[in-house]
Amino acid sequence: MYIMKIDAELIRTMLLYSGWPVLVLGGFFLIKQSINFYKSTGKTVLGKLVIYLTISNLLTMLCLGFVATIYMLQDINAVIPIVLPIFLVWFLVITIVSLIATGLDKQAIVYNSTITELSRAKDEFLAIASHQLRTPLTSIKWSLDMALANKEISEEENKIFNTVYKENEKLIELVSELLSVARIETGKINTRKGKVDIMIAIQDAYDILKPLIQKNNQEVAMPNISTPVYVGADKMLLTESVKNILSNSIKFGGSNTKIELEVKPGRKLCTFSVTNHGPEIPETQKEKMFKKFSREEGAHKSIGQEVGGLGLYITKTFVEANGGTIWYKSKQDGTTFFFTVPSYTESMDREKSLPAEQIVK
Amino acid sequence: MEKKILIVEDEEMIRSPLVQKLNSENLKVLEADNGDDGFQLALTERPAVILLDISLPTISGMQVMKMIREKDEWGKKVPIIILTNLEANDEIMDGVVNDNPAYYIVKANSTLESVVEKIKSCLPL
Repeated sequence: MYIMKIDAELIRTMLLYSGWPVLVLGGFFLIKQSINFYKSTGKTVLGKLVIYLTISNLLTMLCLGFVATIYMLQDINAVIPIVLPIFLVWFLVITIVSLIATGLDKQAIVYNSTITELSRAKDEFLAIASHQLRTPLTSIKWSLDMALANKEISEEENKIFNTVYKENEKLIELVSELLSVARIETGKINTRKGKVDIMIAIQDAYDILKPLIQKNNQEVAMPNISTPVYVGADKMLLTESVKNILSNSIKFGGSNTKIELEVKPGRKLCTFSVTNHGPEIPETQKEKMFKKFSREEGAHKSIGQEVGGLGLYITKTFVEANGGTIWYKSKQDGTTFFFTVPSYTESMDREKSLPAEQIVK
Repeated sequence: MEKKILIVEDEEMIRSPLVQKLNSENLKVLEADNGDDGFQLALTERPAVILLDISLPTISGMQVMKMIREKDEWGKKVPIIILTNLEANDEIMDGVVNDNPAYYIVKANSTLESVVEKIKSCLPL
């Protein structure tokens, strides 16, 4: 009994003065390791999960150790049968996990290069697809531009060319939508935010859609602002967002109607809106509006649009990537879509914005 | 001196309506269907504006723009219009930021008329 007591005291002292520091340091090491894993795997959800699991397991172990220590201080006889095994298992776990983690780190590097490779393949696919699909469409578009500019064509021919032109525009839009969705689905959207004049983005979007607006005989009232309105955004995503909701209003407003654009600058947020005078969006569609492939059914039947329901889903993603929100209000006499974008402030990172007046797709 | 416009574009069906349109506006057009020829033609003819496609045989348009910009004083200043159907990736964006083209035009999104307008806006008076 006396020998047992000496041993128990010795072990207790050892656990208190060397056991705890080793375990706490080991804990830090494991957390650091898991954070490294998270970073080297390209900050994926899997990496995050590893961090959470590591921290929660360590906390459990620390609580257990704490309880064991209190127990040990109260009853020294419990040290050898109860507390010592707990600490020994702990040592063992930390040693084994550290060894495995070092091995996994090497795998993570391989995994990471696979991700880079996939992302490169995605870029390549998008480049080839956009080029291959758009080139013939551009060729048709520009040839029609030439044909329509010819004053000698008959009214009948003019009508036919216009129909082909409109259908071709639909194809071009569809290709753009597919590419946008591919970009969203295959990875995060890279934004390059900078000081952008939203009025220029609106003008660029309008210029792209102008042929369609003219062919639908619609009138577009531009925002009543003559000075630049600077926002902090990715110009391409901003122009694309404006273009998408304007294009949506062109479709649903119907021929011979008016579309109104408005910009409301604010200290923190700038709000952009587009109003059309098409049919009211039913309450039942509200939930589905910004989801992939949702279509407003009433409008589908009455106007007979075939082009898919990707536009608003893409717009929502782009608006949110720029740090804004999107919503709409629909009444009997028309529908207004709104989105916000952060106003430009001096403190914003002054990354160089695109010099182009045109949008980069 | 006559103002010349250089078009570097490999797709005949895209190039020809553009050339026709520019000719009808009495503008002199030089054509090249690959990056190498485009670069050589730019150096020998010194056009007033250069239109560059990105995906070209031999050397890419982004590369041609970089080479022109690095060549000499004229090359640093000549207005370059990128005319492409490509989805911009990081590499293209970096090139756009570094080599400062006058315009980056997505072909499928532009009418022939708007392209010509942009070319004209780059011409010296």
